[in-house]
Amino acid sequence: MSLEQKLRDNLEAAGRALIVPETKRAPLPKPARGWSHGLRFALAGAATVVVLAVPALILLSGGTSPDDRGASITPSTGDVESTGGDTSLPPTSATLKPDTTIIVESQVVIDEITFGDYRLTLTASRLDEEEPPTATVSMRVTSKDDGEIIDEAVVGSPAGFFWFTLTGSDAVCEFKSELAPEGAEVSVQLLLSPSLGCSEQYRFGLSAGELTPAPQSPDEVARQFVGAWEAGDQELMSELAEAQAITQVEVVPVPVKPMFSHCEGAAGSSYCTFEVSGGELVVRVRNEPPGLVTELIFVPD
Amino acid sequence: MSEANHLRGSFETFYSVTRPRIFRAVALVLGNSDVALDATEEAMTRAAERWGDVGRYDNPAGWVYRVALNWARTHLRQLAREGDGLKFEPGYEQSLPDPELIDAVMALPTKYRAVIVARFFLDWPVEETARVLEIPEGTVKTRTHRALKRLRMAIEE
Repeated sequence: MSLEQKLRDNLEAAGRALIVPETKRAPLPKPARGWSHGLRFALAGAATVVVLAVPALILLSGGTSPDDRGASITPSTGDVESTGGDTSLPPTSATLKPDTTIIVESQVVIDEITFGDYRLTLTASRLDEEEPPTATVSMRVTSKDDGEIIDEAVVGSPAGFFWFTLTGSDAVCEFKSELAPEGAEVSVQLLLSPSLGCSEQYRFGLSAGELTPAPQSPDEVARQFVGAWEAGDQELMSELAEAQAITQVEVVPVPVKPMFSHCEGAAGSSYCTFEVSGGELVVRVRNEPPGLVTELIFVPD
Repeated sequence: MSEANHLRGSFETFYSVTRPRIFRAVALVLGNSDVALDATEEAMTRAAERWGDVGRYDNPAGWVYRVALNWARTHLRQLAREGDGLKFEPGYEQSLPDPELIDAVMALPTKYRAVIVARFFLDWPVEETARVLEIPEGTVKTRTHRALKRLRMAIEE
C-alpha cells in the first residue's frame, strides 16, 4: 500500500476517533453591524480612517474573497466591523464606491525589500483584544514578477510587538537580506518601544522563495526552542526540533522559569543546560546545519 | 421563502453537515481539540454572518477551514496554554492502522500539516488546496513532497 493511501486511512481513522464537542454557541446569522461590534471597533475604525489617508500603507481587498480578516467598512455609513485574524491576503487595491462593502484590514505594511526574484514584505497585524493593542508581525515572500505569494512566516512571537510602536516612525531597526550558501539569509530587528530599544535579531533562511528560521548557533536554537515550549508555540517548536525530540515533550515537564546556564559540545552535538523549576533541562542540539534539537533530558534535583 | 430565509436555511444545512469534518481537520492540523473547537466555531460564526457571500463560493468548507486556521494562528499562543491536546474516544489506538504514522504527522510543522490534512483527509486536489490556503500550487506540491519524505523517514526509522 502506498504511503499516500496509508496516510488517508490513518487520518480518516484518527479523525473518526476524535470526540466532536457539542456546539458552544449558536452560529446563526447576526445583524451585519450590531451594537457590540460597532462599539468594540469604534477605536479601530478611527485608526483605520486615519491610515486611509496613506493608501500606500494600507492593504485593501475585495469583500468577496474567500477569506476573512481585517475590518469591513461601508463607506456610505462609515460603519466599521473588524473580523480580525487573517494576515495573508495578497495586497490588492480597491476603490471606495457608494454602498460597496470593502475589507479594510487592521494591517500596515511596515517595510519592504527585494532580493533577486522575490519581494519581502513586513506586515503588522493589530490584535484589538489586548490593551495596549499588540501586533503580530509577518514576513511575506511574493514573486516580483506576478505578486504571487510564495511563503509567509511570523517574525518573533505572535502578539509580540506594540501596534502603536510599529506604526510610528523608526519602527524597523534592521531589515536586510544577504547572500548565503543556500539562497539568502534575511534578518529583522524591530523596535519594541523607544525606551526598550530594538528586539533581538530574527533570522530566516530564504531558499526557492521558502522561509525557514535560521538560528545562528546551538545555544540560540536551544534558547528559542525552550522559549517556544514555555510559550506553547508548537509550530516554532516543530520547526526547531526533530520529531523524536517533539515526542519527548510529552514526557518531560514543561520548563517553568527556565534560566540558560551553558552549552557544552561533544560528538557533533551541543548539550545546553537550563535551570528550571525542579531540576535541570538539557537540550541536545545538532551542531551541523540546520542545527535542530534532537533530544531533551530532564535531570530532577 | 425570502432570499434571507433561503440563505439562512442553507447555512444551517451547511453547518450541520460540514462542522464535524472541518472540526476534525482543524484539530488534526493544530493537534489540539480545544483550540480547534474555538477556531471552528469562530470561523462558522463568521461564515454565518456573511453567508450571503460565503454560501455562493465553490467551496464554503474551504473558506471555513482557512479562516479557522488563520484565527488559530493569531490566537495560538494564548490558547495553547488552555488546550489539552487531541481528545479521542476511549480505546482509539486500536482503530488506527498505523499509530506511528499519526505520531509522525503530528510532529510535522503546522504549515505542512495544513496541506497534508487538506490533501489526504479532506481529499482536496492540489489546485483546490492551493486556492483554499492561498498559496501557489507549486508550494502545495513542495510541502506535500517534503512532508511525505519526512513521514517516510519517520516510519522507516
